[in-house]
Formats: sequence, C-alpha cells, structure tokens
Amino acid sequence: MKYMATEYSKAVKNIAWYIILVSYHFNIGIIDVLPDWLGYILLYNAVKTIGKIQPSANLLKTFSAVLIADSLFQMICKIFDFSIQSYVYGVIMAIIHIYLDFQILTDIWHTAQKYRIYSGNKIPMLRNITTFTYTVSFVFLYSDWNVYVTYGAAVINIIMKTYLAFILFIHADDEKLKNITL
Amino acid sequence: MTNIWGFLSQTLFLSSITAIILFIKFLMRDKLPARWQYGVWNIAIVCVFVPAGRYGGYIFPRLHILADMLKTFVESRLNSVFTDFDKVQFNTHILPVITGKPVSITDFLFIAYITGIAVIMFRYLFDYFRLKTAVSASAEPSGEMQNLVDKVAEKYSLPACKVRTVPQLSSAFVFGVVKPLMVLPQDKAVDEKVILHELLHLKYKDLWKNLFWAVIKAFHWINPFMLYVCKSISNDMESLCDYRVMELLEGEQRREYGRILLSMTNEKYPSSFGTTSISNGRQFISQRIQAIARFKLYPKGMEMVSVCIVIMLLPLVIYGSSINNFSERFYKQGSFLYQYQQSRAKLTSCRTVAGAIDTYAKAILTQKEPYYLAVKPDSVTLQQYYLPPVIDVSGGNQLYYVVDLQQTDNNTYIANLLFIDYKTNLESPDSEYYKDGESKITVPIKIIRENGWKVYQTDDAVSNLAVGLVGEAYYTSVAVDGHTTGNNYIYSTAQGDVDIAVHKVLLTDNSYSSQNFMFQTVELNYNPMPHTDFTDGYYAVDVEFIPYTQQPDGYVNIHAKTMKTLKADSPVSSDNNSGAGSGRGPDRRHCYANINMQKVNQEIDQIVYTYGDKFTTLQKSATERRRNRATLIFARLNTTKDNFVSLKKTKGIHIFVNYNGSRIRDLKVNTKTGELLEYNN
Repeated sequence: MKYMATEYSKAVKNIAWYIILVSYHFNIGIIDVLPDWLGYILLYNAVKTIGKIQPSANLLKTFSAVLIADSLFQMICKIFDFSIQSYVYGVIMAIIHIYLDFQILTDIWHTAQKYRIYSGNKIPMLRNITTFTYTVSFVFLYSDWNVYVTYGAAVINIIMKTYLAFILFIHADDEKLKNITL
Repeated sequence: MTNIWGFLSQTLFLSSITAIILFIKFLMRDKLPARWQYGVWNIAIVCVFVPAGRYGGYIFPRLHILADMLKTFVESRLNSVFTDFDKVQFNTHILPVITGKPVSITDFLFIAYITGIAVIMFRYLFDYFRLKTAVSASAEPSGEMQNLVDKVAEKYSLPACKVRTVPQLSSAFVFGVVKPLMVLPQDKAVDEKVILHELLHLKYKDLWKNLFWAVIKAFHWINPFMLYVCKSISNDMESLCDYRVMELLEGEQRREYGRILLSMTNEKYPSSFGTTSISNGRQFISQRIQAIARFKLYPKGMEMVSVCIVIMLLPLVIYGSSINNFSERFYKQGSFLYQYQQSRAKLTSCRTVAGAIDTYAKAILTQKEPYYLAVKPDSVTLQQYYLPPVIDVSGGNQLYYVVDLQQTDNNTYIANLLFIDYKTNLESPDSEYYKDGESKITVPIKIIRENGWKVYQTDDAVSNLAVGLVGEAYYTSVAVDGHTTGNNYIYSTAQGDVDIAVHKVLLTDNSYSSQNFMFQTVELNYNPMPHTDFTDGYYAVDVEFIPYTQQPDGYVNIHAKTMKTLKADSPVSSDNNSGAGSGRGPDRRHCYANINMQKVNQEIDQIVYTYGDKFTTLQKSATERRRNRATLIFARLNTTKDNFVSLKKTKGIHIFVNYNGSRIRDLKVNTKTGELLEYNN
C-alpha cells in the first residue's frame, strides 16, 4: 500500500495554480506574465497523479496535451503578430476546456468523498457555477450579444475561480489527505 | 430552394454541422454517456430547418465560396431558368420548388434531384406497406409469448404493445409508427432482455425519430456523407437503447445482454422504413458491445457539462462563422484567386447598417471592387455606382462621417456619407478662401435590407470647402451642401437672421492598434468591418448669421418662417418693396440675393458657445472669418447597439452672437425638438 498524501497534495495545488494562471492575464506588452501554457503543464502533471487514484482522470491526459500545444501556438502567434481566427476552432477548444475542468474537479471531489475529507465539500458547487458562467460568457462573447451579460458572467467566473483555487489550496493542506492510498 | 445550387448550399451546410458533431463525438466517445452521444444530434435537427446562410454565416465559409465560384463558372455558360449566375444563392426555405420550365443542364439536374426524392419516398412507402401486409398475415402469438411481453412491460413500467410472430425471423423488431407492433421470431425463444430493448424503443418514440431521419436521408440522397451520418444516428440510437437496458439490469444480467448482442453479429437484420431492430449489423454490434464493456453509471453532474457543450455548439451551428475579412490583393481578372475573391465578397453579409456603411465607405476610399461587391444590391450593377474620385483622408482621425442617418421604413435608411479630403482643394491659391489641402465630399446613400444590408449611392457626390480646427475647441463642418438633410431653423433677431442647421453625426471606431513585440501603434483601419456598430455620435450645428445692418447691395431681409435654406447666390423672388439696406419691417417677405459673405463674416467678431458646462470663448481670427459657416458641437451622445443614437443628456446650446462687440442675444436650441428659444442673458 502506497501512501499518496504528498503527491496528491502537490497535484491539487497544481490544479489550483493552473486555475489562477489560466484565469488571469497580466500583460507586459504582449508577454503574459501568468502564461497559460505553464498552467496546462501543471495540469498535465496533476492529471497523471490523480489518475492513479481516480482512473477516469487518465482520460484527460490527451486533452491536457492538446491545450499545452494550443497555448504555445497562441503565444507564438502573438509574438509574430499573426492570428488564425476560426470560430470553429475556438468552440472546440472551449468544449475541451469545459469538460476537462469539470472532470478533474469531479475526480478531486470523488476522492474527497471517498476518504471523507470535508474540505472538498464546496468543490462541486464551485465547479457547477464556474462551468455555467464560463459557458454563458463564451456563448455571449462569441455571439456578440448583450455586453452586460457577457462581462457580468466573465466577472462572476473569475471571482468563483479565484475562490475555487483558494478552496483547493486549503484542501491540499488538509490533514486527512494522509489517508489516501494507492 | 429553387435550383441545384440551392440544394448544394443546403447539403454543404448540413454536412458541415454534422461533421463538427461527429468530431466532437469522437473527442468525447469514451468520456460522455450514450445519452449525450445521441442527444447531441438534436442540434442537427435544429439546423435541418434553417436555410443555409440564413443568418449570414457558414460553418466552413470556404466551402460555400467554392460552391459559388463553381456556380458562377458553370451558369455563366448556360442559360438557366432556375439560376441567376450573377446573384448569390440564398435559400429562403429548405423545400425544393420548381419555378419554371427547365432549359439548361443544371435545371434538369435539379429536376432529377427532385425525382430522386420522390422515388425514395415511394420506395419507403412500398416497403412499409409490403411489410405491413406480411406482418398482418402472420400468426397471432401464443399466450405464453404475449404474457412474457406483458410481464416485462409491467416489471419495468413500460408501455406494452401487441405482438406478432413470424417464422424464420432472425431478430425481433418493432414495426408501425401509429399502431406499433412487436414482431418476434416464431420458431425460437426470445430473451426478456431483447423484449426490454424493444419496449424501450417504444417508450422513447424511436420509431418517429427513425421516420424523421429517413426523410432527411431522402432529401440528401445524393450526398454520401449524409447517408453515413444518418446511419451513425441510427446506431447511436441503438447504443442509447442498450445504455437504457443496462441501467435497468444488474450484475450478471448485463453480461448476458452483451452475449445476446454477440450472438447477433452474424444475423441478418430488418432495416425497413418505420422499424427499429435490436440487431443493426456486425460492425455496429461490436461497437455496442465495447460500449457495454465500458458501461458505468455517470455521475449526475455530468448532465450539466453535457448540456453546456450543446449550448456552446448552438450559436456555431445556427449562426456559423461570418465571412468578414477581405483580401487586399489585386488578382488578374479571370484567374482562380480573382474569382475566389469575387465570390467571397458576394457572400459577405453585412449584419448591421453601420457595417454596411463602413464597407461602402472603404470601398470608396480604396476603390477596391470586392468591397463594392460585398454591399452591392442585386438590383444594382456595378456600373451604376457613381464612383467618386479617390479621397485622401490620411490627414484626420476619422475615415468618414455618417450624417443624418434616417430610417424611411423597416428595411431602408438614407444618409449622407461625408469625407474630408486632405489633398484636394477647390479654390485657387490666389483666392482668399484657399486653404492648403481640405475639402469635403458628400455622397448620398441608401441602405436597404437584402440578405443583410446593402448600400448604393443615390445621387452625385458633392465637393465643397471644409472648415477645420479652430481655437481651443474641435469642430467640424458637416454641412452637406447640395443634399439638404438634417433640420434647419431660421431665427430672426432684431439684428439679423440666424440660420441653424442641426445634423446628426455618427461615427465608427476605425482606429486600429497594431501590436509589435513591446510596442503598440495606432493607425486607421481601411479594412471593412461588415458587422460593426456605431460607436459614437453627436449633433453638429451649422450657424450662419446674416446681420440686417450694413447689408450688401441687393440684400433683402428674410422672413424666418418661410425660408428653409439660405444660399449665397439665390435669386431674389420676394415681393418686398423695402429695397436693399432698409431695416426689418413687420410685413416684409424676405429672401437673400447676392450676399457678399465676406462682409457678413466680418460682422461676426466673436462666438461664444457652451460645451458641457463650460463656456469657451473663441476669438475668430482673420483667417477664420473668411469661413461662411461655423459648426458647433453642443451635445455628446452615447450610442447603443439597438438605437443608433441614444441621447444621454440633453444640453442646450447658448450662442452668443456678438455684433460689433456687444452681446445681442442668447439663442438656445432644444436638441430634442429642435425648437429655438430666445432668452435674455
């Protein structure tokens, strides 16, 4: 029996950092000092660890790799000032994103439920809210509808994601994680 | 759809949507349950009823551009009755309609397509009634068999149905849309789980869904991809039914169900119109067995992400991607790229009035044919456009101004398009009115709704002098000489007549930020923005003051309420008897004649106006006095998406017209009603 507390805690923290890196963008010129690709790399590493405890997480490896490649490609495009505008591509990436976020948080929550780690109880609620607000802001943004709804949903999404990252950090330091075994 | 190209457009549209759905399903094949895998096809149902390009967008615009190129190439050599080769093909509905007697080969192809639909539908009906006859003639089931079906229905709370048995039948199926029957093999035992499968088909009305997709398949019989899609949908329906069976079974029963399916791989299966069957072919049964092996009960929350994914797909499949980027290159006429560019321009649909005007304005500025094509109405040939000369607007920060936009009916607007040309001057250098490099050019336009919005010019362009920056305030003359628009008010004072013309001016944001590695530069954007909105607006006021005293020879006073516009060289047409130079009398009719505007301007020493809450004094220099008009901005408005101009605050303008150094009158203009009010200061 292998105790996974340290690895698992690190994986959950990586997920929290991934959320922060992907949600916030601070640009100096065109350089994002919180790069998305770094967040996706952290996510990929976290998925490998969580996949040992929750096998369904292993399905997300491919998606994580796709998102790493996409974010690196976007960064290169920015540097050389060209862009490939495709609504279809944007929708597919958004679908991958939304599923990946949802599934990884579900896996963390299931692990918390299994080992009765109560600090994870808020995760499903926050997961649902961020999924919904992300969908609304994406649909309204790309459809160019009501500006207030678009930005309102985006603001709520960022606030909830920040809170979610905070909860994950607390969850990662929970003492009961020591009960998690492989 | 009225021709073969309409069908091509429609089938490309539906194929694009279903291709996207198949790709998304492939990504999610082992991640989302069978319920989502089948449910996502509901998006395609929505799109079946939407004419291609209805909302100005396509999933893969290039396919439609290539289709339009092909249409233009083929039809330009034919004499089709159904197709106009020069016009873009837009379907107004999805049903094929014959609009005349076929002449060309493409007309006959369309007839052949419609005939194909009829043949397939006839074959459906023929198969259906043949099967119905055979089933009706079959034996009534034994009491035991009927009891078994009833027992299964009762156990799982499903609707029961009548049963028929047929000898030498390989697998069970349900038949009949209105009065469904379950048809079972007569000469072998049927497992409960097979009956459960068929009863679930009945409960969820799968027969009606099969009927629907069979009709769609008939309408797209030429397109092999759509035939594959319809087959996939049918298989997903069976997989969903398996999933529902698995939800009701437990443990060893699930494995038994898998074994039953495995036993059907080598059997023939009925695939007639109006039927469903547990067996659907060897290849697909093996896929279903794999799905069964992966079966798990998905967590409840997974429904939410399934719904969110469908919501994200909806705008894409309904509105598509609009064609909104224009190639700036010039291609040799007749070449492939030239034709591609032409087709792309024609398929561009301007979704907004502002976008259409923007595209047209940039067509004038750049003289690029694709820009004209994008906003050209079908009823206007390119030669009918009055193309004004090339205009250089690079000296300013606005490419153009939209003046006095008015809606004349639900589908029509009129406006004047104003350009400040910084390289053209209409006066000779010796003239006192000469100013290096400015004139304004006004183009009257009409904007009509026709597959989006289209624009065309309604009269000759007019060029005249412009005024520019003066003093501390920014103002611009937007008077549109030669095309009277806006609201004109003439106010008579004891000292003279003041003519105030109020024009509504709308702007779009044409600044373009170009970001290089660390730096950002701002330029003017000459690329059309066919879906843009107005981003700013204001009322501009032209003021002209004609004092009564010191009037030039031939000047006759004017009655304020009768004159609409004032022109410097209008002929005298009044019946006054006062003669020139006399003061204003109560019963005189007035009009202008041979006014020396230079002298008039000399009388205006100072103009004071309010901008917001501030009073700003402008000292008109000798240079500015030669202007015959001054335009003052007095209200800044915000634009919203739905209203072109939304008045946020109403502020009156106070015009202090100072004559010979003394203040004579305050004039206040109500910007909402245009009413002029006089009050003493």
